[in-house]
Amino acid sequence: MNNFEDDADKLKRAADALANMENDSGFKHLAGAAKLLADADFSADSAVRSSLRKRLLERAEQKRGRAWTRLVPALAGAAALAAIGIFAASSGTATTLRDFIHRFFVGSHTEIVEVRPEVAVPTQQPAPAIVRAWQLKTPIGNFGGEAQKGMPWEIRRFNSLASAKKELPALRSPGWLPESYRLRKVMITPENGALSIFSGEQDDIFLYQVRTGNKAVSRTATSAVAIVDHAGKHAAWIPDGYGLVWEQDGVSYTLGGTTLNEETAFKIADSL
Amino acid sequence: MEIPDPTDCGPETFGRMYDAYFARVYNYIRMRVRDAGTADDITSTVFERALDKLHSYDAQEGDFAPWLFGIARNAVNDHYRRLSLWKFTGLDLFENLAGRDPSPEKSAADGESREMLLAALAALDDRERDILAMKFSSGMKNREIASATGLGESNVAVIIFRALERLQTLLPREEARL
Repeated sequence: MNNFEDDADKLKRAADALANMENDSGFKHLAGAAKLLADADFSADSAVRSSLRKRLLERAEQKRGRAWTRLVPALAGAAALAAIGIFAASSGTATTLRDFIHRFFVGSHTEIVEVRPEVAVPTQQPAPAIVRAWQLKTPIGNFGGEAQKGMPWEIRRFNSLASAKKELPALRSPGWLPESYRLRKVMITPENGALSIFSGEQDDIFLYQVRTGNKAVSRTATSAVAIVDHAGKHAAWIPDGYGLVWEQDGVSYTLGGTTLNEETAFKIADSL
Repeated sequence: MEIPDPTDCGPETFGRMYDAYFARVYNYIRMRVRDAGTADDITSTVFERALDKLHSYDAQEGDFAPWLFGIARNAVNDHYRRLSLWKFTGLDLFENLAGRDPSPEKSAADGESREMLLAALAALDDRERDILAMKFSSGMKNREIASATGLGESNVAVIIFRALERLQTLLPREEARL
């Protein structure tokens, strides 16, 4: 059905474009390039078409059954949580921006910034002056930072836990993983954060850990954040695979994967 | 395409919208960024944003396609802004962790032709790519493209004409021949 609709749609667009070309003698000699463009369909290259559809439909179902306001009492109930809604912005836009940005601290140095994009106001912020920056791009979001001048800034890569631990002795790894999952790679950042990647039958699972020191760690979520108390952890669960964020013993953790569910995430987190 | 009821953001409506527009949105993005993995990332962002904003779509204010492609256009622009922000980051950091190579079963001949088209599009400037991609992927009229880009309608037509001329010269003769 989908293929039929796509094909019909493609043909119609090609026909429309070509009809317009043929009717206009000035465009006639360009009909070859126009036909190529109108016929071009790259969508078979997409690796996410089905999985994205499934994920979004689940989210649509959740949205229908969950009014946004239901989150408020849930957050209030997390009594031990230092949930702080703050926002600092330029005075001209602060009133509107306060409506869609909420910040929660799940530890003294780990922050979740919740953004409700449906009421977001586009801003033109100047790019910060960065001397040297690094970024790790993953399906659960990007991890980035800045390296101080004179400090090493390369990402160090290891294929085994033992070799990564030689570089970063405090590195923690889960004692339990879903069946078939194994550590594939550890990447250590200039700030001595570590991104561990576990591969298995389903999508990769990512665990990012960084010692907070005096520096806050900030994660941005574009969907409603649920605050969960579990086994002494005050954690934030960000739906749609972006994962579990918590702070423990001075280390900020993010555990996620596009097919990772909350129950499995907690099981992995508990085994660290 | 029946325009989704903006008061119904449920899975049925959204699923219909997704099925009807996925290929168009993906093609628009792919023509602008070329890389398949990046196109997947941005397409995901577009539909996530669309789901979050669907309730705010107002049919009185315009057709659905320009609304959706406005989100797509902003997402691609955000992507380029981020690239510019992270310009000091080594290229190896952008390795594709998800392994999103094109499906191996696609025919080699078809693949070559499409790669040639993408290469030729990459040689155009971003405004030309944007407008051609909108014209041929979204099905938007020149008037709607003009509204989305802030250009005059006649200016849009001139840009399309010149971009097609450039594309025609960039493509191998047998590809560009009707």
